[in-house]
Amino acid sequence: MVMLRSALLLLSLVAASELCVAPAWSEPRELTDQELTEVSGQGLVNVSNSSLNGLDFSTITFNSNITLNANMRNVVLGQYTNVANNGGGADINIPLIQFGTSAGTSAQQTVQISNPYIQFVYNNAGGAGNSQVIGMRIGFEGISGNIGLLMNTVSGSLQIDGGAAGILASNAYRANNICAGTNCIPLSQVGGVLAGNASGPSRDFWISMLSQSVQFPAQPGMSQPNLAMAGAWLNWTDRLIALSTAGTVQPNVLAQLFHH
Amino acid sequence: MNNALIKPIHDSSFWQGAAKVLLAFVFWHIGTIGNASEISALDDSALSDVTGRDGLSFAFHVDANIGSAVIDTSDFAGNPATLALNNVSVTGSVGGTLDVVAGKSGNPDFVNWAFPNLVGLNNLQIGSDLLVTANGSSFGTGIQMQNVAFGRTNMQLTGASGGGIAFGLGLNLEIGDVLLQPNGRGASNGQMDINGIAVSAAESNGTAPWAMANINTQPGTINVVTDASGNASVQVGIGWATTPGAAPSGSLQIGNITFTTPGGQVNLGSSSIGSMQIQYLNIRFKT
Repeated sequence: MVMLRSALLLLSLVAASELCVAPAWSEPRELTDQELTEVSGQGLVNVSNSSLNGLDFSTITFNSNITLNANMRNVVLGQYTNVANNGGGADINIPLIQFGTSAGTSAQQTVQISNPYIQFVYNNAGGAGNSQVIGMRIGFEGISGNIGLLMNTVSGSLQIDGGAAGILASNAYRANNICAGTNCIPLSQVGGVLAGNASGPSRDFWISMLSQSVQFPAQPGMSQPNLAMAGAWLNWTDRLIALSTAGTVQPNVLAQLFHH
Repeated sequence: MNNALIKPIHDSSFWQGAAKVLLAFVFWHIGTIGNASEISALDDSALSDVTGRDGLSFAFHVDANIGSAVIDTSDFAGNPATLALNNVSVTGSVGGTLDVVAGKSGNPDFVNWAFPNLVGLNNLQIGSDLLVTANGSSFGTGIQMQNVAFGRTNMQLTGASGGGIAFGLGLNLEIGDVLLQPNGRGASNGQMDINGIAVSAAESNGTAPWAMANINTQPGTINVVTDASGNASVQVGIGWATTPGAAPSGSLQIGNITFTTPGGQVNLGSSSIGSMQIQYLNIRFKT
């Protein structure tokens, strides 16, 4: 307990030194035993373990609600040569992703994300000393809002309501088209998606990096996703409506003065 | 993984380790590291190179072993579960400057930490054993972060006008390798190797920090907020920039991702994000 108090006192001193330039601050003091007993870790993370088809899955979920406006350009994942199908030279090649838009209402300026998680995939079937890390995936339990997109190549499983164009779907390695039945359009013509609907947010956005194909467990309330293939793989099929099928991407240039 | 090694965060050995790190931090060397040389008078030329400086320069060597850090939490069924980082080790050298800088008109002064890009400084080796125990099973892997370099990174801290802490952050980070080694640290069979990670300002080729948050024009904040029901939660955010589109962009580079499998190496090649621009971010942790 003495060491604990010393550590807390030192922490207080360091924190106080950094806050000393604030307009007002209180003198640091040591916590009493009674106060220490009232300190507890809050549920910032949840963890879970599961197994499926001989593989073990370990998930760390950060219990948080995130409001985001961000832009990404030239997202290139898994850039290696594949002689059979080199696609865009990468498993995933997305020149533009915009979380939120400056073209719409105040609510449309940001995207809502809940409970981001990271999941590790192991093969422990070989016994002690022979385990393998098969890979990992990163995803969100929920995402809703306007996401502008310009996609060249996607290895993954996509399903988007294209309105008059029909339900557009793709489940392939290094695909550059997305199809409603036999009617296909270039992926680059999907200018973005509205994620989520009146029933709730989109629930199955994730990206994996794997050394072999993996059947991931189902997300809560959903059926099992399509098999994820080796390499970089993007899964996103739930509650998505195309914002454009003509390649038009909404602008997203915002600042404090323009945010209403 | 050895469950017996798990020690709760309130275990004294954890705090002993933490206290060692803090003591190393507190007892920094003012000035530069190295052997002191004999004192001699400066000539006029040498004197002309001397400028007045405020604040402190510091450098210290870290060689810390922390038994375990354990978060007691629950699985999704509500049953007890733990997230443990066992056998945490951190070695390396950290050096930088600490100054108090006058804020812009109407803004408070702030503390500025800067970590220069110097050979032998700001380069760390970090290791731990990750173990998740939940749903009646325990899965884990050794993790090594090799050659973690953060030279040119800087951070600013002050009080936020609405309470809490306001911060700026310029991030320039390189990690030689992140190794996930399920058969123990140092055992390469079955590992996943993420090699050549770099985060910096976009199009800077790694020579400039990504200003994720700017204390004057787009500050970050850390505070505690209370909802209508009286529940308090921690909130971390980055505010809107003061000029449209002015939020700086960063980039992420990964040299390659390689798996060592019984059938040989599986190489997923390089990955990158050419530019990342955060115009607004608010993370509210649930309670």
